[in-house]
Amino acid sequence: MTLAFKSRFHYLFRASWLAALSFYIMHLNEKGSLHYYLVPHLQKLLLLCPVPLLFIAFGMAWHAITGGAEQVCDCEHSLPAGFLRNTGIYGLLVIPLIFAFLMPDLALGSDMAAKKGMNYAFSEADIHRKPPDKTASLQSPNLNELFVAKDSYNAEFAELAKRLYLLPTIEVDSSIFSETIGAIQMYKQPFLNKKITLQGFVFREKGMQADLFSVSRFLMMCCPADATPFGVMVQANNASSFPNDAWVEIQGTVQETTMNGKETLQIKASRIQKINPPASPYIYTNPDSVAEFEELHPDNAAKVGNKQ
Amino acid sequence: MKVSNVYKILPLLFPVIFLIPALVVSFHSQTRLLSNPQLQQIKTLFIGIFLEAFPFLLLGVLLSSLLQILIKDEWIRRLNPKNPVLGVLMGSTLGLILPICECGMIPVVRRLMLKGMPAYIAVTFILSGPILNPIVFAATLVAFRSHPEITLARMGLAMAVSVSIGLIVYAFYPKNPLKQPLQHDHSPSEPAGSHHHDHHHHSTQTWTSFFVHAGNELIDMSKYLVLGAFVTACIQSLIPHQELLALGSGPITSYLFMMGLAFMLSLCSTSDAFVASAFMHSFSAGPLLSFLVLGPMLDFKSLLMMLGAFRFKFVIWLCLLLVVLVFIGSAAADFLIHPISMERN
Repeated sequence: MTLAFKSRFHYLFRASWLAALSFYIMHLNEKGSLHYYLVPHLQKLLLLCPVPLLFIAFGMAWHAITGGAEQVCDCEHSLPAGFLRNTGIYGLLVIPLIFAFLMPDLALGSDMAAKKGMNYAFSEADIHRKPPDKTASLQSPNLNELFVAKDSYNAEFAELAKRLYLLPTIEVDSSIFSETIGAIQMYKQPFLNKKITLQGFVFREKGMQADLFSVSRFLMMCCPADATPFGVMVQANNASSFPNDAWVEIQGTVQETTMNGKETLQIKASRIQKINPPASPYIYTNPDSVAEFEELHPDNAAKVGNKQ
Repeated sequence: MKVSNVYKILPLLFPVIFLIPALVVSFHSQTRLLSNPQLQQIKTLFIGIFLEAFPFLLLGVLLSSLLQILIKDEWIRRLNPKNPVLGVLMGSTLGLILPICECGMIPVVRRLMLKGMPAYIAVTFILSGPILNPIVFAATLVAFRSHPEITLARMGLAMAVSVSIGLIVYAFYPKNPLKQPLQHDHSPSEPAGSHHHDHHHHSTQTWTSFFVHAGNELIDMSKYLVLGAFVTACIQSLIPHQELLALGSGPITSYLFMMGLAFMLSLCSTSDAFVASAFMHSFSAGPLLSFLVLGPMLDFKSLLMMLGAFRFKFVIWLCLLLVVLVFIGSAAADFLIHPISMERN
């Protein structure tokens, strides 16, 4: 007994859906667009999928062409019956493919940031409860006294802060973006008036003053669903000439301001430059920001050792 | 061949799928459909959630198909502990050796149940698996750097809730909660014609049927994933969080709000701690915990998957129990944690 014509159609559709999905994943990878949807470690996991998917698709197609009825494993997956049900299920399955192939890959922007609510606190700055001895003056910086880790969980921020403090200009690198701003935010005082350079997209809250905007990035843990917008306030006289979502590079100095009754960082911009969106618009958390920093600034590491 | 009840629900949900983009578009009728920023956001979120969950789903399906071939029913039967308390404890720690996240969970658990794992252990595993595993523990610890008690409370509460639900299922639900019958009944009086195919299945199992089986299960689960991911993406990109936040300001409504948020956002359990930490300034430990514990156990896409595998009534009771237990548990934890964190500061 051979497979009914209807079942053949079902299996062929299923096989082609799986194959299409597998090709879509490979297509995204080839274009280098996977980073719009997944963090690097999940990208690797996703890239394991196309081959088994093609095997399954091939198995199903083979079954559709040659299969006999007695071979069908119908113990649980009865094929859907009825026109409405079929359209429902297969229409549903086709939706991601329609979205995938008809619309461009774009990163989340300021519209989404407004929906999710911008965050201005990169670290819990409750260091204030145990203020470090401010008299351990800034003139003779003893790094270990200046940057005291509140507890073992914040040791990484303290270590990073020590290293950042020694830089003439803090260039905020994308690979340790949130950690760098977090460390500056946690200790604030020693960093005031220090030069800083960073990149991000322009975002404005409703009712923000004309000379202000926030330079922002989305921090992604797994996928865009959990991407959280983080921003640093920027004050510049020509701020209004940069529209929302424009990618900019800010050069300026670290300042302090209050926003909604909370102290937060603000950068007084000396120069704002429009840039192209970076290859990877999202930022990620770094498992070891200090090691990453030392890789980025190999000559700076030695200095920290000397001054400790 | 009995048509599963799943398919009866789907056409009802189907119009929703078209309704949502249609509504979105009608608000912005001036702009072209494909360059609509809101639709673009939906696409980014939708494809993101789908691609994030898909590898885990595939893994779960392949694992389930392998279990089907390799594991004999007697092995599972022999492993089943006689004591129900021991059973639920085993179920709740199974996540340590089988750290699958919620997307891959349903196919594996369904297979294990068909192989003879009792329902109460399986339910305990479904609920605790996505939380009580080393990956989630580490992720939560990082997200709440300076509040390790939140991580401990999350693990503890997840265990308490899943164990109590396991025991409740043991005591009050002796039936088979799966939609499909347990065909692996080894009673000799079984009529030869109806159910015997599974037994000779093992001998005629070929690689083609392995793939056909895996593919069918994958499609079966994918439709719930697609629906869940799509609705989640729409909710996330159409409703501003801040306005929602205003709803959850009262002492009890804050719990309900955070639980509702966890249900709607459908985040992966490895990343939700991070999202919760953004609410740290708005809420105390209790509502945060309710978010962290309920989310992985019950969210939009896992609810759809559960409805696909389990009986409707069973799932509804499970959801109600979960909400009540998580609420009580996190409120109690809030009471306990509060003095501790005050001391620390």
